[in-house]
Amino acid sequence: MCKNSSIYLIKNKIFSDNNLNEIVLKIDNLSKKFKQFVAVNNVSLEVNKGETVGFVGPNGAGKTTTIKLIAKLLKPTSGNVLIKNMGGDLQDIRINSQDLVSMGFLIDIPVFYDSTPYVLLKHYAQLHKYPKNKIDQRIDELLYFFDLANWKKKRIKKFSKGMKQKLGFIQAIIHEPEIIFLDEPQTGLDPKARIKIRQYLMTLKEQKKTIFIASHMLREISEICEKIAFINNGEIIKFDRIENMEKVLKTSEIVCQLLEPIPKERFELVEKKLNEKLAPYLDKNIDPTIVESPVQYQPSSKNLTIYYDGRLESKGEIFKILGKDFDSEFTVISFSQSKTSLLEKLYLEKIK
Amino acid sequence: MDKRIVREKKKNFNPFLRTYLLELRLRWKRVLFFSIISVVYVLLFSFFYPYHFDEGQFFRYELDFFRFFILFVSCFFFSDIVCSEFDKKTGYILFPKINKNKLIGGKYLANLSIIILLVIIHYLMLDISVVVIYDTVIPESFISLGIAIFYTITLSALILLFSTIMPKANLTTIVVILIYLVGFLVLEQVLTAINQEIEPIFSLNYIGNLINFIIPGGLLEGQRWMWVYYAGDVLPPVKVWRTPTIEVGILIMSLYTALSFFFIFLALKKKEL
Repeated sequence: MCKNSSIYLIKNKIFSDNNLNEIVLKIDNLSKKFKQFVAVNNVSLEVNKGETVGFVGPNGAGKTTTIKLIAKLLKPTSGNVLIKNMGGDLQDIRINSQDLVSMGFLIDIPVFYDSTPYVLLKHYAQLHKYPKNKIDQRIDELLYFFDLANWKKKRIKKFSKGMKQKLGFIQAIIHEPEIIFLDEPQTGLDPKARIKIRQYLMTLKEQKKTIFIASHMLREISEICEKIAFINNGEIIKFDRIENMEKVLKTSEIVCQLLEPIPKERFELVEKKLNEKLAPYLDKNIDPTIVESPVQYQPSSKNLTIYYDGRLESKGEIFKILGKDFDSEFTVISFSQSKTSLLEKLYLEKIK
Repeated sequence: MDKRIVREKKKNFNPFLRTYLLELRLRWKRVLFFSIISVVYVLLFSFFYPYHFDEGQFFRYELDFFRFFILFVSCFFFSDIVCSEFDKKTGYILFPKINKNKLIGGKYLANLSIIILLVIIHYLMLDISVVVIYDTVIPESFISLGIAIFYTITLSALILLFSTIMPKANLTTIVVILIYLVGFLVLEQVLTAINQEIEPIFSLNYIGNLINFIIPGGLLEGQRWMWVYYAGDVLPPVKVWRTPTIEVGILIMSLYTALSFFFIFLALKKKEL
């Protein structure tokens, strides 16, 4: 137990980002050392009710260790984890976990006792004091949603890795927790299962559940989370809303979907012309090690990606030029702005 | 008592109770298997028992098997309680709703209940056999049952200690069986060679003899040792201790149990999932 911590109970009226928000999770200077190795180094973080936070970092960055510290699987070397309790106060998790708001955890690929999903899910629900009369219905609903209904009474040792991961996700949410901690929830899942998990996470988001997802899959994270914390070597490098992070980059990208592919022999010419015409609006500070050129064409997907300076006026001009000066070269059928690649860029910038 | 305190206690007890109930549910196949073995063995022995045995001899002879049976069964039930939990990390799912003390405590008590049930079943079968064959009841068999339960608790605490220290359940079983069947026996022999007057009260194997010798007829009343002649009359007889007194037996078993739980507590405190 950390001896220097005097804060155990803090009233939850804390101002953050100029908004009056209800903090449900507060990590305060949390550190964990394994002998000489510092796995988590002075991590501080506040998560508000209803927020979906992505915890992103490379392998060995300290994501899982942080979640294990929150789950009380590990003892911190120093620092506190405070979670909202039933009385609405922030409470140190070391006092009594029974008083805290309900939480659900999925850490690593879960290992289950040798039994059936029904028996174990019922046990988890009972452990979390989920209303007795609703347990069976809840189990059936979730197993059906995640395509495990036919496996309800089969032994888990016969399950594939992906099925166990889905079951792990179900156990984390079986009791409808207020805060959900997911560590690499997409590991071992097929595309359909990934979509299902994402869909369910979106539903939970709508229900104003607080979700904390650790992952290194930026695409998944950016689609679900509104805030991202980059972690590397046990330290939080950046923690902010995705939009704010984009502003920091001062660059944006437009993805243009073309009707027909640009013929190979014509592309060099078209690219040169695009660079000339769009030059005043393109991102001049682009890092060539991350993005080769501000105008990129992917023949396989018929996508034309343009990295511009992020200004709204520039965006308008680009649309005008593409419609006016290139109508003979290609036809743009849709425009989109992907957050992912920007995040990837930022991620690579931050985590070197 | 304050209603709030009662509610708090109930809240803290729930994870423990749930673990206990789940463990009983998960172990039912093993319970059934060992119950059948126990019942079948007693039935077979009752059908084919040596006719010259009196009821005391019958009971004691049967209890020799029982002591090995209970050692192996205890290893089966207790050896994986801690190490498999830390090895497979099944507890990841349950934390922080449950802490490791409640998890291990719930599992331990569930297994202890099971094994005590198996001991009772075995004694019950034996008593029924004695009634059927000899038309009598051995009152001392109930004292023996009490000692057997105490002995099982001691054994379970010792196995749980090794389960806390060892990384795998198989290794725990091997180490416990080796200590019990080889370690204690060798030490007993060494002690006999050094000084025959010293009673090997450190040995759980020796303490376990109390289960058999409490049934009258095994030794003369008040006698706790016997002369054993090796190689006829060529070598002088060796004084072999056969059973401790009930008081010493209970004291040693209590000591083993208390020390085991103390070390389990220390080891668990340091252990992280």
